[in-house]
Amino acid sequence: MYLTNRRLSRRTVLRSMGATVALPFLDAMMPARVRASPAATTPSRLICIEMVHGAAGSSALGAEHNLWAPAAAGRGFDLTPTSLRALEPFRDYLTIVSNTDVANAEPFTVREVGGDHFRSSAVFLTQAHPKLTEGADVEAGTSLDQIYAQRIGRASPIPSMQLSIENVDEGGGCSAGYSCQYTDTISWASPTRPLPMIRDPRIAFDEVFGVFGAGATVEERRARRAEDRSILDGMGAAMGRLQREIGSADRSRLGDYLDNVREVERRLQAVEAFNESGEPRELPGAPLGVPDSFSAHVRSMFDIQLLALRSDVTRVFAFKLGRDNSNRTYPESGFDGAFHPTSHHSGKIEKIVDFARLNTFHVGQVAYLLERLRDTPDGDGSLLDHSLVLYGSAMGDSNLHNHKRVPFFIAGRANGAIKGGVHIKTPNGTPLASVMLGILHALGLNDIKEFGDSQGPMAL
Amino acid sequence: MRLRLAFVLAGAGMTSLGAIGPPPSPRPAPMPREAQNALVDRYCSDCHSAKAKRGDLVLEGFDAASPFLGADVLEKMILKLRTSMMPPPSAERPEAATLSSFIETLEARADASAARSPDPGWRPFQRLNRAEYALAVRDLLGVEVDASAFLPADTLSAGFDNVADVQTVSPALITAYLRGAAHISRLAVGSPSNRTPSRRRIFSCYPTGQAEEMSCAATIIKRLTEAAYRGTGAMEETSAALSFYAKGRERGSFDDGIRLALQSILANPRFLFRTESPAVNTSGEGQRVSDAALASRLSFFLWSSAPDGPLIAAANRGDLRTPEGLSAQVRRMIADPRAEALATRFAAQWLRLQDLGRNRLDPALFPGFDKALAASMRRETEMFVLNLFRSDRSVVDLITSDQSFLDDRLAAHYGIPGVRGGEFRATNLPDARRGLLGQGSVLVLTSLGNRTSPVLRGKWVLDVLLGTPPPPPPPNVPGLDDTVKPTRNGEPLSTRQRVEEHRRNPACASCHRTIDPLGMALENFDAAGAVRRDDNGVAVDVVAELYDGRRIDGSAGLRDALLAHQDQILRNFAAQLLTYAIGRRLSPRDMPAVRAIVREAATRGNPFSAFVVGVVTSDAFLRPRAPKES
Repeated sequence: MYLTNRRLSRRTVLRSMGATVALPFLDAMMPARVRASPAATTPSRLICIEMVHGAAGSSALGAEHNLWAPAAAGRGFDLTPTSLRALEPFRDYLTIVSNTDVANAEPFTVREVGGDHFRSSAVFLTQAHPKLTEGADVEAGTSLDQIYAQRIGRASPIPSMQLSIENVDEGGGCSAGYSCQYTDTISWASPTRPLPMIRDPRIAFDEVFGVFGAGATVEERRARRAEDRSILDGMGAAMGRLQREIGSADRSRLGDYLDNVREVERRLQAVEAFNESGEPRELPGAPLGVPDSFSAHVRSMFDIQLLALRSDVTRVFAFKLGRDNSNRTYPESGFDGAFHPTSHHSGKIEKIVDFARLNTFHVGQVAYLLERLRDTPDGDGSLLDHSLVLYGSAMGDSNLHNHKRVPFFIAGRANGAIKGGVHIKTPNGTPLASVMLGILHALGLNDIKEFGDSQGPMAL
Repeated sequence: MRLRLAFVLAGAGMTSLGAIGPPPSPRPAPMPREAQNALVDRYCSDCHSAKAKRGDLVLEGFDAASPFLGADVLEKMILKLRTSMMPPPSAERPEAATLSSFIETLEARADASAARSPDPGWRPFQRLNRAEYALAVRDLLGVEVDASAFLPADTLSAGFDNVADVQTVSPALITAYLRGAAHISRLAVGSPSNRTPSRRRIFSCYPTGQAEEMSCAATIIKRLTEAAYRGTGAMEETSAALSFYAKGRERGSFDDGIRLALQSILANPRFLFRTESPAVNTSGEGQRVSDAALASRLSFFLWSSAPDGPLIAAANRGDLRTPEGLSAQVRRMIADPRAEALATRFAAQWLRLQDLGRNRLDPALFPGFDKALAASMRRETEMFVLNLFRSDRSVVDLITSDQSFLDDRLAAHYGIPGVRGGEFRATNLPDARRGLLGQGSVLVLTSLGNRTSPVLRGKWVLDVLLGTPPPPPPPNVPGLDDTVKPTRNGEPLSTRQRVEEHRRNPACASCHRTIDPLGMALENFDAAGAVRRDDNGVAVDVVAELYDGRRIDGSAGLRDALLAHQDQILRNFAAQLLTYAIGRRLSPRDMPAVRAIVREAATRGNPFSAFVVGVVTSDAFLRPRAPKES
């Protein structure tokens, strides 16, 4: 049990906050949650992070130079040449799994050739081959985060959250015959239900703390929640009346909305139950919107994830850091080339090294999250002990648009199910799906026997 | 951003609907079956064999009389032949007259087949997207809200954010609706001490004593629900909102009651969703959407917002069922300020103006370019398009117009003297600046941060103007910056020279022969859209050979070349407008309707209104079919 005694007024914080979230202040404001049960029985928290465009170290030459995976397998690995070097302080929590493939992201037919950028994100957490369609009949697989959330998520008010960094309104939308839904999200509630992702930290924040209701005092928030419940009730009733007036296809579509109304009802009820064990007296202030800087944006999103995990509002996150084909530049990395063109490095070593600088910068952002998780006490250890963070891409060598030797690592000990401090170098042709299945088992879902093109669960 | 242009639509110049109907089509005699088969066999089937299957199309054994020759194959052939993209420039081609007769025969066949078994298509109900939500709130309550602060981003499909079947639902969306309703209802009702415009709009009466409260509340709520639910729902929904009033009043003041009622209205599916009752069956006419649904279809198409009082009244009177009544409303609506959404939403998305903000030009190379200039560029294009639409000029003017709207900064950037002050005004343009292809917005959004890209500009012309996007590049193709250095033997190379060098690779040439020349003709504009004489110290060369063999010289030459493909540009425009209007992607089965819209517009000189009228009188808009039961 841990409680923070020191509190700051909301106004003080807002005054001092500026445009970004300053988490230490928020920490002081957010009363720690009193766990009814010991942490050991709380399921692992899960954060799934995807980055697009593979990695420099996935090319043949980049692999030779250990630009992604370190040279040595086992415990004695050296991160210095790799894009993971910022994670050195967390090496004991790190499980690097290298040399795996994502065969389901490859084209299966002639028409799918050239569509790798519009397919890969949908494959990452589903390990399923997306159906080539621009229509509503999208189909991939249920994603790993959702499989887990559907098992354990209901114990927390919000079963899972989907966050992203890049905008999705590029002119003309997507191409190569694929629906934008394959590119816009990595989270799939079922093989046919992609979940939209939230890009604005302020909306993400509202999503986390909005369940508590708006208002400065416990009483105000309670009143707002009551109001929301009654409005929601009215929304459901009005949908029921509308059902009678529309055709059968629209009726079933409206039924989907109604299901989601009920899910939100359930969440609002869960908050009441949750609050019985100690309602937060003061909520942290919200961030102000989307920062221009990539690292400020990513940190803001990590801060929200941390707040949500600490307050146990949710336990599962999917977080998309990039968007395929993006020409974003990352001046903070010290290299000014645009992401997609840089990923087409022509197999030339100096260009590959440039690309590795971007990879290093991206992975470097995760160090912030790991540090915060490690420094957050949780039960008999830290949040990092009780979490599983995965990071990777379904693209391998983006210059060739292949899906071999994809970048991937895990951080955290998942309640002791993962030891960490190891580099697992898999034999050629090992599916990433086997690693994902191993992760599902580490998360306690031992009854799941296959996932995508897995060949049994990998021991982690 | 409001466009404050006072263009009054000349009623007389506007198309009337009276003459709509199948044109008397004096079509040429069809090409005989054997001749068609022989033509395909000779010119097409080598590449489009069962084995090679180029372009994923098999024409080996083509039989013009085959009952299995479907719309998908026919429309693919028509498009490639119409744009002279096939047979490829290097290959043997039939004589122009023969080719044209063949194309017309294919079109006649596709059109006849559609006439025999029409398929007006179907889409599921639409929900208000971010932009529509904000505009509907503005029109209902007179408050400006930023919907992106509540609602999740809209999924684009076919380039537009209003395509119904990709709109998905999630718990996050429902909570967003709740937050929006709570926030906006408080903002709009405000406090009694502060007489805001939204309060004046909401409180059409105000009780002076408790006895008047109920009847005043009923008056307010009846008016709000009618407007918010766009003429549907009637009694039942009004009484549901009234019960929220009672609940709020019980706990607080009269204002609290009205606010809670408003909150429930903003969270009601009749406000958030555009459901349509199953159409009434009018014998012989197919299934026509109801009058109320048609009013909503019109207003969301032309205004991106809900119908106003006059439109609902016209619908209730049955006016929209007559060509004159429909025409009168369309005319009124295009003249209304709300029609600026046709520029800021339809045209902006079609032309991909949102990408303008994505190109962060290197300030060291383009010191005169900044966010404010980019905003002026976007505004220029929006005003240009809106003016063309409002004054009902030919859609071809999008390519050729010698007038646009500039403020002082943009005029200076273009090198046009005499424009002072930040207000946009109609300005005559030098020849090179004519039409969309001379506008900063288009030139910048198709450039890279440090140089022009003839490839991106060419791709934009093919994709956006002609509706014939090139296939995505295969992987492992080195980019221009990798293969060709900006110098050769110490001599600088222009972007054009580097692109040409790049194109020597035969694997690239097959597509880039089509793409690049279109962009090369615009090399006299730099990446910031300013006129230039040289590039990297080399004099710019704007002469290129188009894929159809035509020689083009600079932007004027490019415009002429595009005018030669005017029919395709107009078809693409009609297809884009129809897609946006009905909120679904078109299929090959829709192309006969698109051709009908274009044919009809051509008889009147292609005015914008003819396209609008063609769209709103199409079966796809008026008589969607019942969905196939799953």
